[in-house]
Amino acid sequence: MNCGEFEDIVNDLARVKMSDAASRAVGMAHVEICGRCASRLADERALSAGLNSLAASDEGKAAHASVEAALLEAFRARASNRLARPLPVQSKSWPRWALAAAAAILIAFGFIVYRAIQNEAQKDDKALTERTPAPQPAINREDQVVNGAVEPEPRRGSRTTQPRRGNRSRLIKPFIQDSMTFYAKDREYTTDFFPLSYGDDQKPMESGEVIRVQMPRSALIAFGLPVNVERADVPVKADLLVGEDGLAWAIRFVR
Amino acid sequence: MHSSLSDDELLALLRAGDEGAFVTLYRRRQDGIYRFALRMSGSETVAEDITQEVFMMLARGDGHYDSSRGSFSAYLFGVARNQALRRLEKDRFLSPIYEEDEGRESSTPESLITLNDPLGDLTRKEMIASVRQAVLALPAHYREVVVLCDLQEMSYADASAALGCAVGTVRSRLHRARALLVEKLRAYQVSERAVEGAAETGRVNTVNCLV
Repeated sequence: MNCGEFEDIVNDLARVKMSDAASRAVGMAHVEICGRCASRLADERALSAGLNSLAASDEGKAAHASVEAALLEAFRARASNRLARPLPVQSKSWPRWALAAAAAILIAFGFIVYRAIQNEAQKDDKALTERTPAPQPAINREDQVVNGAVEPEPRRGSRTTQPRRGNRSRLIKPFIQDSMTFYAKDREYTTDFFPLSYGDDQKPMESGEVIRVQMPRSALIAFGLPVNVERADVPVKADLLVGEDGLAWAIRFVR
Repeated sequence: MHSSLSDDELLALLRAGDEGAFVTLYRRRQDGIYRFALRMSGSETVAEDITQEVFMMLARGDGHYDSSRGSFSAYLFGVARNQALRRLEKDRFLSPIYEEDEGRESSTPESLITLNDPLGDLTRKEMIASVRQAVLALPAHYREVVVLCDLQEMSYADASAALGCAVGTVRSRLHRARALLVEKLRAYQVSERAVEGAAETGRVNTVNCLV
């Protein structure tokens, strides 16, 4: 055995933990001929003696009785809570994964609808930019006179919203659904007519006319329509259905 | 009745809410855990806190003991070790003070005191205090192997299970830790001899002055 090999076993020699008697004998034989390793072993044995004394001095030390009392109290409290807790029943509510899946489906559906609206709006913008705009007056009075009940001309694939009295918010809802399908009329895209009301004592409209006007784009917001922020300062065209009394009964927006 | 049961059997009863099993396990294992924490921290207060935390974890049923990975005792030491390291990290800016004589009786048991040899007792106490200081001055990853293997007399296998490392790592750390301890104790001895020498010189000077 050389000094390097002795260094590997010196701890076990000093700690008297070596089970291999042959290794122990070889190590002790090396100590007989090597003063340096003998000194090393003496240091390790002194350390082991010191550690043993330290371990013996701590013998009998234990946590204070108050620790056991506190733990017992905690254990009993937990046990009583466990007894008081009702037995688990089959939850009537959906499991978490089902709720998460439903939420994911809703989010995906919302995203698809949002993208569809965005695509339509982009198509409309593109169509408008491709078309050379003819100079028009700020107010274009059409000669179209509607007699009898107000009835905008029927559009293919869209529902016609009749102007009627009532709460505007109730009218906006179906309109928003229709606003997803703009339709063309003479290379223009128009929304359905949007009814305007001035109270419950309004008389039925018997005749009127459609007037082309320009409005600030922010007016779209009032009817729940999306506004392109980049074109916020560009006015938007609208058709007003004006009755004989001069009041606007309905409005539709034009692109 | 419970005292004849193994740790694993007691643990099974404990999980079923058996208070007697909990008490038996606590009384069987708390002193080892307490002493480990005491030797790691050097503070009886911290040692009691750690002991309480370890067994509180059992009382709450938060433990994840896996018998295939080691003995229950090694598992408890592992939990205590994590608690101790967390506490050491938290208190790393505070100086460790061993609370041996602070309001408690001396840590030296009566069996170690021989009334016929007061000088020997003093020397032994000083030596124990030196070793204790040297152990506390070790880095935590060396201190824990010395505490487990040399002071708690735990096997390498159990120590490796408690520390979550290989047996070879335990052996090499213990080898290095003991070498560090030898150096530290040698330095203490040199400084003590210097102090004794200075005291002796002072005594001689005093005698000379008196003469």
